[in-house]
Amino acid sequence: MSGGRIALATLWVATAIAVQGALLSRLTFLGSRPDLVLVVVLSIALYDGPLAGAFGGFAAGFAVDLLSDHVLGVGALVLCVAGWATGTVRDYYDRLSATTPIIVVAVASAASTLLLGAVLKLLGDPRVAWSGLAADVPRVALYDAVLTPFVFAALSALNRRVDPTVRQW
Amino acid sequence: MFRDSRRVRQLLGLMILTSITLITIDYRSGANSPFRGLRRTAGTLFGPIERGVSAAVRPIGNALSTLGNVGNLDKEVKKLRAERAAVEGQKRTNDDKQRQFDDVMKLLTLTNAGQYRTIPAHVVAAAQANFTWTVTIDAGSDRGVRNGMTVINAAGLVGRVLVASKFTSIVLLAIDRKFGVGARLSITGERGSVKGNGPNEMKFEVTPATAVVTAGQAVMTAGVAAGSTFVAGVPIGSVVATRAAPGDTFRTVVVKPYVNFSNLDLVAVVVKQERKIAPDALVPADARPSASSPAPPKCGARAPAQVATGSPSAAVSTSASTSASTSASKSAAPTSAAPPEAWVPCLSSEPPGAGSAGSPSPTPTP
Repeated sequence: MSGGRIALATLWVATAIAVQGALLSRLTFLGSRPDLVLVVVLSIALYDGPLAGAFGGFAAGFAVDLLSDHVLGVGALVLCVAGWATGTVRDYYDRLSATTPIIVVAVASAASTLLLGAVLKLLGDPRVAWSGLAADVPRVALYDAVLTPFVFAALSALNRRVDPTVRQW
Repeated sequence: MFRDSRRVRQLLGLMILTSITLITIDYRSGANSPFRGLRRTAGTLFGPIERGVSAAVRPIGNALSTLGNVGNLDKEVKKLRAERAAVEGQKRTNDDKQRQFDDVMKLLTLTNAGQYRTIPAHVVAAAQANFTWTVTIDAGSDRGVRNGMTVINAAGLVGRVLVASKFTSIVLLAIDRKFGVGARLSITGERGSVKGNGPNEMKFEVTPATAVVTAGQAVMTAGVAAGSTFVAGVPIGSVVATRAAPGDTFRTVVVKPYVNFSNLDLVAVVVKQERKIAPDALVPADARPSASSPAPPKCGARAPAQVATGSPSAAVSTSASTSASTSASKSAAPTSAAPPEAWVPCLSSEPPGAGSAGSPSPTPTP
């Protein structure tokens, strides 16, 4: 992973956090919101494997934690694990079909939303209820899956521009 | 293909450990978290960025959040529409009920004041032909309606019964050109006949062309009509204008009917006038001669001038028709400055208007 690609990934995560805070936090479908930061982290993991996924997830999660009012480190933990797991799964594929990233992101979104909610609940966050979490998980998975093709296509286009030697999917 | 997974696992473990440490410290220290400064810095850094992005994408955000609420909005709109329709329907019903109630109350007041015995009826149809001003009412001979009976509503004269069939009757409206009824002016008492003039205002032909007719006076039925016997004292309309061509034997007065003939609904067929009443008892308040004779503060104040005309149909109140009253009336009538002592005080139960009416007729009505 070249320096340019690392800078690009950082920019991507920062943009995702800004857009998430400014735009998507107001965008509630049936009580749930898409998680753009998660989609970006998972896309990076799909591109660059488990290490990039884990590190990107940790950094992004930590930034999200700092900007949120929940216990610091929860987002970092969850996004780090999600990025690592997605990157690891990605390494089992030689080639990704068009739908694979969507399915992977949907599954990973569901798992990380559940994990995030569970950790917050265990830490006594009063805003998390198991019933609400159960309703949130499929919705967030669906919304993130819808976002994935756009994020992934934009990411691969920019990656190729910055580093022509990058793997093509 | 697989990268150095051992190193990755080590780094992953490190990051997980860091996260858990962060969680532990932040959770345990609560409000005194050592990361407060860090959070503040992050907020300071990201705040302007978020605000900038927010300002740039606010229209999109609003559009999208509207989109996100489309399901709810649609439901909300449907609900509100249904509610509005229900409320409007109810309002229409209420308005109609209120109007009917008002009509009934006014009609009751009129029939009470006029001592009429009436048959209530609703207008069920209007004339089919042009130039013919009739309506069909839902009361017929089975309920006592007979040809020639007077038909009134809350506002005044509606017309007379033209054809009473078994269950319905056809009423010739007062504005039909065939309609004519004997009438007199409420204040000055000039007599003549009122004729319908179709959609235009009615015509009142006052027999002496020299008669002085002032606008705003009420025109009342005098009780005589061609081909029928009308009840007396039903208000017809108010004087709008007057004109007399030189050489005419009568003066034509334009009369605006009190009744609105375009929306007739509840009417009453007058079966019988129970007893004679004071001549101006039915005159609408605004057409009463309050200017010519200031409102009587006491019983026995002067009556309006129509007493002097000697109209046989001008009714009297039984209590006032004593000989004393008559003589007092005769002596006091020409001048309005007559002292109140000259009058017989009316009974306490008698309304001043009725008691003060006085009468040229010495015979009490039954």
